[in-house]
Amino acid sequence: MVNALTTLIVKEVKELLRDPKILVGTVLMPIIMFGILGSIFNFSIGSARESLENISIIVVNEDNGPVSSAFKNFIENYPAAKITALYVQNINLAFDELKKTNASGIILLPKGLSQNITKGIRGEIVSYILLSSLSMTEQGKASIFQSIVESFNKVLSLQIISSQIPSMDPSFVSNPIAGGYYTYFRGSVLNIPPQIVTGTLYLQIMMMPIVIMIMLFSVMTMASTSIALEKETKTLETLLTLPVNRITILIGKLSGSLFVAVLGTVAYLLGFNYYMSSLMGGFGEQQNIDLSALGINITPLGYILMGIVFFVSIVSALALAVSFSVFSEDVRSAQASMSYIFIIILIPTLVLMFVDVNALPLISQILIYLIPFTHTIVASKSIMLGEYSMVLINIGYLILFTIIVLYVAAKLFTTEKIFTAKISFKRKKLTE
Amino acid sequence: MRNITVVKPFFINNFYSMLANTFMGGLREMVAAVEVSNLIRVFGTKRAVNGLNLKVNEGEIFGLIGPNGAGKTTTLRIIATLLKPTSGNVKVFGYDVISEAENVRKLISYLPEESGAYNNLSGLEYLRFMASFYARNREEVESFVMEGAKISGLKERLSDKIKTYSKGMKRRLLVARTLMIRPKVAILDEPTSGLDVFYARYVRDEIKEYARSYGVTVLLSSHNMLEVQYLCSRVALINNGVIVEEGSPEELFRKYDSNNLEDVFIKVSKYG
Repeated sequence: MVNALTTLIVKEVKELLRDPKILVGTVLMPIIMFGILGSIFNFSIGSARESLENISIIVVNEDNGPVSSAFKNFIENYPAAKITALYVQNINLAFDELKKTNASGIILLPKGLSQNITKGIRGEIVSYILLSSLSMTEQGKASIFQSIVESFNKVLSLQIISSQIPSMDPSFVSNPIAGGYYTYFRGSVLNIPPQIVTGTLYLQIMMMPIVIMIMLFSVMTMASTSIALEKETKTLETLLTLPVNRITILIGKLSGSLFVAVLGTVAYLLGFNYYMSSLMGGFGEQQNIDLSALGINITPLGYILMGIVFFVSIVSALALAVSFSVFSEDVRSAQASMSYIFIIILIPTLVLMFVDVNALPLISQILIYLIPFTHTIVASKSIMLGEYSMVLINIGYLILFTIIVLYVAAKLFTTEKIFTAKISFKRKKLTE
Repeated sequence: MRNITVVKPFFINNFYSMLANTFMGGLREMVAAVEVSNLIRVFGTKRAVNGLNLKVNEGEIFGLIGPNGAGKTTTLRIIATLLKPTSGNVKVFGYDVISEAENVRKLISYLPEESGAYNNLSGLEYLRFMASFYARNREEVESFVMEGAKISGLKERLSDKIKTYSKGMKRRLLVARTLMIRPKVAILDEPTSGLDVFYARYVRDEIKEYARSYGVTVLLSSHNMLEVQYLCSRVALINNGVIVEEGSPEELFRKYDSNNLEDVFIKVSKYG
């Protein structure tokens, strides 16, 4: 006999890769998805930076005193951005101009501002910031208005101090104590404020479980579709009467799906690599921090371990999907049954996105760690942080789970259950 | 001494193998292609097959006829090793369908009533895929594929993806893949189901010609009495999971004073 396993695998791969839904969903989608995500990130950072470098504002000068003249000089020579100012007489005109022009907001210098400050009474500069969307650029705009007013405040304060207490250094009087903020992270002291470290890491940690969840979803959908399609198109009946061991048929199915899944994983890794480089290039540069100082750089060993974690997770997901889809009558039922398994992927995904598992009560920790795909996410995070020792335990648990599920799938394949089991999720017809 | 000990077993072995070959050869001639004894299959509370006995001889075309739900498909699925009997014995050329299922699968080729093919493969790829499980080498695969292409009559459409085929074209492809491998027993469940009159006739002729040329034993089920009458050398009428009458069409016509199987079946069902 010509090699039955090879024949089965070749058939399976052809069937899967020629199905546009599977080709796009498993192999092309990760590249497209990460490509789009990375590009959006790059674009947002780029456009935010560009728009903040050239900002246009409307200034309502009701004061017409020395303070407003000083303010005019200040914004003309503002060091952080090039500010184009349009001066109008009153606030109503300013709002009209805001509608017509592309100005980012209004700064109101109210009547009596100079007079108050000269008398030693605190004055007020009011900003109206245009919020046209909820993008990163808009957040930047809000902070630039705040920064203009605060910087001017500081300049004014230094001038007042130097005129009132000429014997003292005005910068010392305004700030007699300088605060130093360092982060002690994973055994090292980093010259980065902790909020930037947490902000950066949170971004990575939020994304990783989502990426893994999408990957497992697509792999499981593919495997369950492959089995259910055999039932739906009535090819399974013939396949099971061929002079081939049933285990060989199962291995053929798993290997075919695995081949396509490996292509998908490579696509995920390529896409993920692009996304990470976008993130490091864009975000890291903007915050002026070196992300590798936080330990967020994946080494070649890290990539190998990541590959192993993904591979074992995919095999166990495939075997799990096959075991469940055996009981489905058609593709729709198989996909509906997958939604139950998706819940056990969603739980660790959501938990690990928002919570530190080790902070949970012991029983919750045990339950979360019993779910095999928790280990996929935990291992991926550990790899990103360069903590490789725990990854081996995660891989071990995943392998153990995979062996058990493969055994169950093999048992199901050798009984007539594969042929007779018919769970249908179709809506029942109404009978009279 | 050493020479004697070597020669003796050789002689004895030769003698026994000669004896066994003669004896087993005789036995093999006597073995039925398909033998079903006291077959019972229960699904939940329903007895789909209820003590069925059947014997199909090598080289004959045997027809199972009966109404919907009579137990035809269940019987064929058990013979094809898809389902297990609740009780009873089923053998194909002496091989038990439960304990020797893998040997049975080497001898049979099964065409289910509602069968499909892989939509993303071409007709030729599908035939090649199926032939690979039965052929001993690549040359034999191609020889089976050529045979299948001829039986299907699909010509240049064999290069197209199966998803572009009509229901009738798919059925012809499936009949072709069942017969092309020259199985010892072809099990055909409603072989002409879904075919129009012309192609149904074409497929019937192919089955008859193929069985005659290659000595293939055919066990088929059908609702179509004319089809069975045209194809089969012997038929069994099945109702409520048991065989109610059996014989050649001519024998049944004489016994029930009729000239077609439809009348015979009605008479057997009413009075039998």
